[in-house]
Amino acid sequence: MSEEMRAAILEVFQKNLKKGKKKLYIKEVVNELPQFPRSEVKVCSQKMLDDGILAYWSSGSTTYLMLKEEFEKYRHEAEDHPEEGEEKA
Amino acid sequence: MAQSETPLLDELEKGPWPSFVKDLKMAGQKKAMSRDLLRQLELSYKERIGHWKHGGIVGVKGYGGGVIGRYSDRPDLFPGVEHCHTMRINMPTGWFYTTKALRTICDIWDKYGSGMTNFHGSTGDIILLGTTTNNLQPCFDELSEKGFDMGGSGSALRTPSACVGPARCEWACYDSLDAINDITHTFQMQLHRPMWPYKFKIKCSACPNDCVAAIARADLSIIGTWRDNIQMDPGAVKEYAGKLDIQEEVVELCPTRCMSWDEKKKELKINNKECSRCMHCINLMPKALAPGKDKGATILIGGKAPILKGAMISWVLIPFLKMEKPYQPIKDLALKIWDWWDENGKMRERVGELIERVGMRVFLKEMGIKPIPQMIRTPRANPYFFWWPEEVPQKPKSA
Repeated sequence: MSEEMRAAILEVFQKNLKKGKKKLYIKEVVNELPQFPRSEVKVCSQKMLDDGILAYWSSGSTTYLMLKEEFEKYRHEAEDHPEEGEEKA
Repeated sequence: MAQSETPLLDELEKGPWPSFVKDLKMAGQKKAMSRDLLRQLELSYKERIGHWKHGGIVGVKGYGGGVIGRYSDRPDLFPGVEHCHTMRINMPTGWFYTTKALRTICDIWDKYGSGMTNFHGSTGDIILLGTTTNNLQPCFDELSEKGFDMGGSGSALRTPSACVGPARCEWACYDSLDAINDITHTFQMQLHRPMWPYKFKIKCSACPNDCVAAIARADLSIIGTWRDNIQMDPGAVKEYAGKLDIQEEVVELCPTRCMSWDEKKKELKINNKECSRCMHCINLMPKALAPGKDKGATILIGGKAPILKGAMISWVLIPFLKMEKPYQPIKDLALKIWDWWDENGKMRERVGELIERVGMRVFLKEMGIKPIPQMIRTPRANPYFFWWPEEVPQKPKSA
């Protein structure tokens, strides 16, 4: 896994964060990095999850990725109005 | 007499049926979480609005799913449910437990959670309802030590589930328990590390009775079937003739009208080529009729319950497949489907919705599967299929 890809993934999150978007679908990350193969972006994202750079955020039915530091701030600020179709558990 | 804190919910205790309110009150005698859960629900009934905040935490160390995060939006009033997360635990295949295993789960859950459970969730998982963020990891560690694992949630493979199959059912056309156990172990990564556009469900029913309702709920259904003739015991058919109106209750209810009954000779005939495996006759005359001997499974794609879009019934993909260990054709097919769906699916689009959007012929081409008549969406209703131009035989041009 290249450092270049890690940096590019981080940049995607930081760029979106500036726009106020904390959570991204993995597909959004992949779509923003057309220069890298999809499967490699996914493998790299998994590694970044393991390394504690990224974190999962889930509504129950849908999973997003976010920066770990943002997750720590956001983890107890769950959503008042979940998306349609959220799991009732 | 002290006034009840939950007068609206108390109404649900009335009547002859079981009441979750009664159960929660019992649980509330031991745990503040259950008490506050009832009190919060009472407020929701009163105000007609939910008081849960959704999402956040996903699992335990190394897992991206299995925990459904829930928080009260009124922790000031209901501190017991400030955190009230659900843990999904992968059930044993076919839902067979020893009493020791059940006690183990309950003891661990009493220690770390509210004590409330749901055996089982609609996907089949053991649902442990209500714990705090701090208790998630130690609870999982103890469950894991006893051999349990998390189930699926989020944009991942959901806990694969199977009917009781050959363990208790004489109609089983393959070992659904072994198949789902094998599939679950093979796809651990897909189950615990969500990386797809949305959820994906695999369900195994060992015969066309489809007791896990795979056809209506699973993205990939594996439903037992046979490809030879229904087995018949003519002597047993005659015995049924005395207690059953075979003409009215069996033959006339056959959806394909593939049966005929000779009342004088007490003889039942089946045109097996027309049988659509509805199981009605076999269910009604279990001592006389049985599935054929050449057994396997039909593989279907694209079923789902209504969430974002309406419900979809599954579509036949492979009419007959022998189900033998290590189930490699199924696993290869699943990997191929996931790769295509992952690349082409929109966010929160199930595979059946994607197929509907781009067309079955595109899907089949990508899968390398040839279209065949059994794949038509609504059998005996509309056989129309768009073929690729190169697949249509060209008539020689007349001179």
